[in-house]
Amino acid sequence: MKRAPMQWFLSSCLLLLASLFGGCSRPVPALAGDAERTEPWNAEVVERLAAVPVQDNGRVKPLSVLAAFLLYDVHGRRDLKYSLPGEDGRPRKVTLSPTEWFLDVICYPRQAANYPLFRIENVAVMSALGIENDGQRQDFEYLTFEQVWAAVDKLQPLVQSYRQIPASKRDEVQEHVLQLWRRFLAYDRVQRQFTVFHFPVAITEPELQERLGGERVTFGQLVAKAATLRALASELGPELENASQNTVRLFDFLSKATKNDEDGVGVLAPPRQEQAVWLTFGQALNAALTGRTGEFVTAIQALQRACSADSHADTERELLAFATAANAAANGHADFDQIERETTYYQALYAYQSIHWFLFAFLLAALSWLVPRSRRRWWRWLWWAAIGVTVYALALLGYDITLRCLITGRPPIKNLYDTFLFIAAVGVLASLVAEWVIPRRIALGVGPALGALVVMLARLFEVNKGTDTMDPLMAVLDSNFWLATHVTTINIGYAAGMFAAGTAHAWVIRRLLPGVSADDTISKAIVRITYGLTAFGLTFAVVGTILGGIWANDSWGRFWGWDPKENGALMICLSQIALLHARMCGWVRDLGFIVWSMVTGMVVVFSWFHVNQLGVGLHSYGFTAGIREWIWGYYYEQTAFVGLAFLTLLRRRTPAVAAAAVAGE
Amino acid sequence: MSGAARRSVVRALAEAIGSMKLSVVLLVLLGVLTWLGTLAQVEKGLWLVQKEYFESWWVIYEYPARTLEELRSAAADDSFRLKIPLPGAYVVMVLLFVNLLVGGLLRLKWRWRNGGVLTIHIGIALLLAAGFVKVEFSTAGGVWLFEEPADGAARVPERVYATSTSVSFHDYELALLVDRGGEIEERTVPESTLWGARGDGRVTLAAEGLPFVVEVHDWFDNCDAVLKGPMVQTPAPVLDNRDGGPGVCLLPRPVATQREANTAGCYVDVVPAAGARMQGLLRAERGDSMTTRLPYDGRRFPFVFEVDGVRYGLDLRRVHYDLPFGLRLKRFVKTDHPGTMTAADYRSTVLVEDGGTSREVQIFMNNPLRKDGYTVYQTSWGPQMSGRPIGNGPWYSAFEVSRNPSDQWPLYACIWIAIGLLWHFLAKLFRFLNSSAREALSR
Repeated sequence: MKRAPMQWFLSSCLLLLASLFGGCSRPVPALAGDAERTEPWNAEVVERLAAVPVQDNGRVKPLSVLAAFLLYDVHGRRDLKYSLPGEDGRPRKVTLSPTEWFLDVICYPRQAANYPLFRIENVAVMSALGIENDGQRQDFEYLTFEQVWAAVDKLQPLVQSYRQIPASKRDEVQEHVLQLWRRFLAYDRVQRQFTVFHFPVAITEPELQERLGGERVTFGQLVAKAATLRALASELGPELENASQNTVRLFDFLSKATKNDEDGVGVLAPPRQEQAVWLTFGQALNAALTGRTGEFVTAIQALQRACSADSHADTERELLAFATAANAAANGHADFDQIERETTYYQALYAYQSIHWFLFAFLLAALSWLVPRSRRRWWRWLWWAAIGVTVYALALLGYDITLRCLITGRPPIKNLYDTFLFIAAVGVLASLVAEWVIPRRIALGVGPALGALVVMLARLFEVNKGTDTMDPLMAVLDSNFWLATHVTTINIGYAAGMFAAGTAHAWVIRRLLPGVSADDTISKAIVRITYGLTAFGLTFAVVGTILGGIWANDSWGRFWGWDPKENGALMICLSQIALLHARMCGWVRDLGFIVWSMVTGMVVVFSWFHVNQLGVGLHSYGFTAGIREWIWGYYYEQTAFVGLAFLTLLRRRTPAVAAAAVAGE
Repeated sequence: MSGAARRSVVRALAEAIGSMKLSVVLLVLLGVLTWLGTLAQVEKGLWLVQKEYFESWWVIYEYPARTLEELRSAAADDSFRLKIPLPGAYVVMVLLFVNLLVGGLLRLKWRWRNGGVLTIHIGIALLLAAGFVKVEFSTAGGVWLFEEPADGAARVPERVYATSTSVSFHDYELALLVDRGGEIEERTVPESTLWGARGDGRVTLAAEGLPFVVEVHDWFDNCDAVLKGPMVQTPAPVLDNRDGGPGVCLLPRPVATQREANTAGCYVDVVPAAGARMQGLLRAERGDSMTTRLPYDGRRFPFVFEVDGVRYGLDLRRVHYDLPFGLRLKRFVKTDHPGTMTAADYRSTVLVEDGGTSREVQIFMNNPLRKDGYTVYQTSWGPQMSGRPIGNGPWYSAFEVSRNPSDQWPLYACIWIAIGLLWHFLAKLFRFLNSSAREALSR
């Protein structure tokens, strides 16, 4: 009977977990309307199309990367789920990868328009747009493109009036309406490009039918018949006096098609290699009409056939032909080694894998805490296992970072996303060194746990931000020398500061455990490790901050300008310098050192993320929307631990210790 | 007081000034000031915060913070605000510098064991000294140049594409121009002497040899000069228009957080020793370097008058700095990332004219021109609207020109400090690795 409370506790924990997971799994929304495509995409087709190069945001990248970041942006998830009525009457769940979803957008636009796509994080937005909402869910909903399209007349005036309100004065619903509009435009920009393949022009006049070869001509056919169209245009006469109604309609279509995707993605490499800007379909049509030919015409025709094919098998076959032609057109324009590397990089997910191994390493370390020291062999075995798994996970993460450097041709950190991976790697490495110096299995546990956490945050951030993390740099950052020196050193400083705050947590937990005495060696060891990480961090924070000033002096004309990001870096340095001096002059001891380290952790987060939220200063290239809650969550958590740390004061004066203190006096 | 007693007083004083506890207090104070100064930038903008928090002797922190509008408005402020007086960062840094010299360098034992710490402290002292020299002795201004006409024949005034003067972004000066028969003589007073002319104040300027005094009044930090129509409501006086028609006046505008986006103006009364008083108004120009300023913005309002047959001009303008060399813009090229409007690179080809010789240099981001103690940076270009070029050229290019005697000191300090930090902490690490403390902790 003695174990009963424990069992009760465990089973209630399990129940709680089960209900939590139950709460998380939500019914998958049903597809509105009938499915055009009932068969799944062939894996080979998806794989080939994933690697087709396109140009967007000033960079040539695989189609799969374009699709993925567009989906993260508008959908807020890494995949898209919907359900279809199954044969047995129960709904059948379908899950699409970003590339599969994108292929639907290209080839089955009516189906894609009915996907539950736009994530609405505030359901009041739906009421504002007059869209029915069953009121069942308070957290988020998905709207289809069709739904938003139908509500555009309501949405547009709202957007116009909300834009007049300064960003700091907008309420949540207004923010979300503007966000929906931005997402709608982002998706529409891309989906609109491919609509040209789905609207053939009717040709009624027999003569015209003969010259263009059919009663209905598609965009692809028109591109192929560019010479005929040129001849037709020359016959129209200067005042269009020879133009029939059908010809006018045809040329109207052509003129609209050239403008349809002016702002779109460059899908086709231009025929002449010296041109840096890739062609949208409208520009490709223009190029064909001005007499240029090349692989891009073949690619357009293949894509046209894929879009107007009668069967899914034909569509897939033509898509493969498109991939071949698009690659041929891009030959010489794109560095295929990097395209291939990037495609496989996003398939392999090394950073994602490292999370699991880090967690496994943490579990091994935690297990080693439970093994009594008398079991020396077990103890050693677990220690080595945890070290080995951590090293393996770190190697995965390091390989991930290396691949990113190779693909972009840049040092490891170019934007905020990169800082997560880099900080995780450096922090774990520093923890391994700390474990080697003081093998008390503290750094061994804290390092991988934090490593996993930071990489997880990286993945959340990637989806939350929804913009390609390898996009080219703005002019002021375009300096590999300074990216490699200032940016990496300052981030090593951030990493050490964050991980020192992490080991400080271990101290607080340790001190609160029952039966831990005041002169506990493990607590002392944790303080030592925290000290070491602080000293390591300070070295890099100081050097990094000054290097930043030197860079600023070279690009903006001043060493120091009290810009928020600069101030943040300075605050980290000041906090750590003050801490070390306070320790030296005896103002802080163990507890003070631990508390101050956690405060420094907050200063690091302030500098790393919070200053970008302030919306002022020159360093606003690291824009981060929607992570304010995370930042505040971290502050609250740290503050709570600071409070807990002071709680340990209550236990300090156990009778024995107090007596010893009296005796000492 | 005996010699011994004096020595002990000096020692006690040195101990207090150089104490490590004082360093901790000052470091924390500087950290807190930096934090508050960062947050205050949201409401007040960088320039004001810099003056208030970082270049000041003291500052009163207010919560909730007042916006710029509230600060400038004459209306009484009734709402409750928490007010905490704090020393300014400038004072704190001066004290830190003294504390560092006394405690970290003079009183620290000069032994090998302390070598790392001493090196770090020397580096930090150099860095603080560099900051002091920069604040006290540096100047910064802008230069805006159009591309030189390609055929070499000047169709426009040469000052449009060549200059040897840079213009401050922030600070004004009042210039008195005296026409000495073809030669112009200039005298200037800095803006700070004119601040008394805000609100109901009046500032009287006089100089030996001048047959008149100038009274400055109704100074506005941001204003337009307009014709007084029925719709124009202004607290400022309305002056008769010399050309007839409606009167002219200054119309105050809301003060922008970015100081360079403001245009100051004021009224001047010229009071000759004999004769009637003459009234005029002056308006400066915008000082934005980064985005909107067009070179040779024609909206400046100087005031021209005659006393005893001599022509004078009063001109409120951004401070002019003379450069020891001339700059002439040959070409400006902006390259975008393909298919986007994001600049991958923008660079200017500039002819630097020094005495009789000239040479061509390229100035672009992260690659300034350093010459004769001056540094010339590429900052902006135009004509543009939110990054998109307007028209097909000729382009103009904007440069920042700064003169900072301590320009390269931070680099030397950085190297020193890096060496010191590595020395100190590695020595500590190795001592710890071989110590009994490690044994005890690792067992």
